[in-house]
Amino acid sequence: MNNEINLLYSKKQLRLSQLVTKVRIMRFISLGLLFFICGLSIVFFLFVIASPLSSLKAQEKALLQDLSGSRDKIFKQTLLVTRLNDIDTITNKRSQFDGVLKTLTDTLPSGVRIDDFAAEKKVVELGLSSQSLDDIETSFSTLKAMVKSKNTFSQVFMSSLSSNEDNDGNTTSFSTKLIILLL
Amino acid sequence: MIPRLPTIHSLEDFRFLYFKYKDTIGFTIGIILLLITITIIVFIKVVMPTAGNWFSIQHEVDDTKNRIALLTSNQNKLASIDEVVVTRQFVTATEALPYEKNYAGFVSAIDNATLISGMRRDDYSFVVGNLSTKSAQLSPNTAIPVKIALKGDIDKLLIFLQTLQKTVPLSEIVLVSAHNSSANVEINFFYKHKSENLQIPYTDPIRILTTKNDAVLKTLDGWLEQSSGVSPAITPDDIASGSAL
Repeated sequence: MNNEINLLYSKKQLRLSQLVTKVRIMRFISLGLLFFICGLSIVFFLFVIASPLSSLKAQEKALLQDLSGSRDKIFKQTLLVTRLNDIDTITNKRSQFDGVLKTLTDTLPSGVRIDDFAAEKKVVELGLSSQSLDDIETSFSTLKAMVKSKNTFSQVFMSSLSSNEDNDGNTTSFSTKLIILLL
Repeated sequence: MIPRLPTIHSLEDFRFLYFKYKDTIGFTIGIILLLITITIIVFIKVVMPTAGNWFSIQHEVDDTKNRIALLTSNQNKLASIDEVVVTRQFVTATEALPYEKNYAGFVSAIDNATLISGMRRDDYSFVVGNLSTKSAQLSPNTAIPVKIALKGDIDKLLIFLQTLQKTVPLSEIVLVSAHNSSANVEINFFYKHKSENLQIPYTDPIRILTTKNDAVLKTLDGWLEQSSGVSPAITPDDIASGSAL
């Protein structure tokens, strides 16, 4: 039996009413959330269904079939490019002893003769002879200058210098042996 | 006294209990908890896998589009490549860097250089080495050394070396030893085995000739032209008259 006169809301009824309102709001929110989540799952499902992946895969398959008909051409082209790259590497990296000899014959004085020429890896041994010692000296100076300019040679050494005499003891020519290190 | 739990024997009992408790706070809170639980279960079991599936499909779509673009590009490149020209270029490249040891080509190159330079050639020897070992076959770049003895002065030797550098098959002079009027030269002639198991996937970009490749081809064509129109330094008349000696 209720002991209060039910004319106005009592504090207890007020609290109860507020609680009921909050609970009703929570109920609507939770229901709304459930509908939202269900809608989201349907949306993602439709996205998956509508994806263009299958048509793209079909297009890719058609292109692959078309290219497989040109397999030999692709193979030949690839081999050609690979081979040309190898040829380029070889021609760039191989030794250039012809260039070294050409440089020497072009730069040495005309009175100097190349008697010996030996080249292996990065070392060149040069045997020069001349009737003039000045020419020999000029040759050595020219080679030293080339070393300084760092174009072809890294170092040059004179390993020997000798004179050749005739039977009367007159000096007829001068010979020198040079060792040149290539860059 | 322990309160008795209501028993449900029929739908009427269920309806009775529903109407009895539906307006109570406990019932509403129970419904809320049930809804939240169902929401969480739906989110974990349905939404997340579907979303994950969709994102992975999107990645697959992007990858497929990229592959299609590459395949289309390859198709266009192939259309622009003339097979006749490629074949001719391929022949030029294999003449310069043969698949196998091209002894005839090596001898021809030496003879050509000797003829142009005017050097006189003695016998020469090939250092053959292991012919059929697996390592020799598997090695990508290989060379055959050739030792040759020549007679001639330094100027002729220079022409010989220069000619050889511009002759196919490709060679490298690894040793020169010239003294007075004779010279010993050691030459490496290059060749490269064919890759038997070369796999070229269509999804790789087709390699077209670069500017450098074109320059190499042009150089090789020039060398081949020169070697086909050889003007010997020594003619048969020179030999007959003895002026070549």
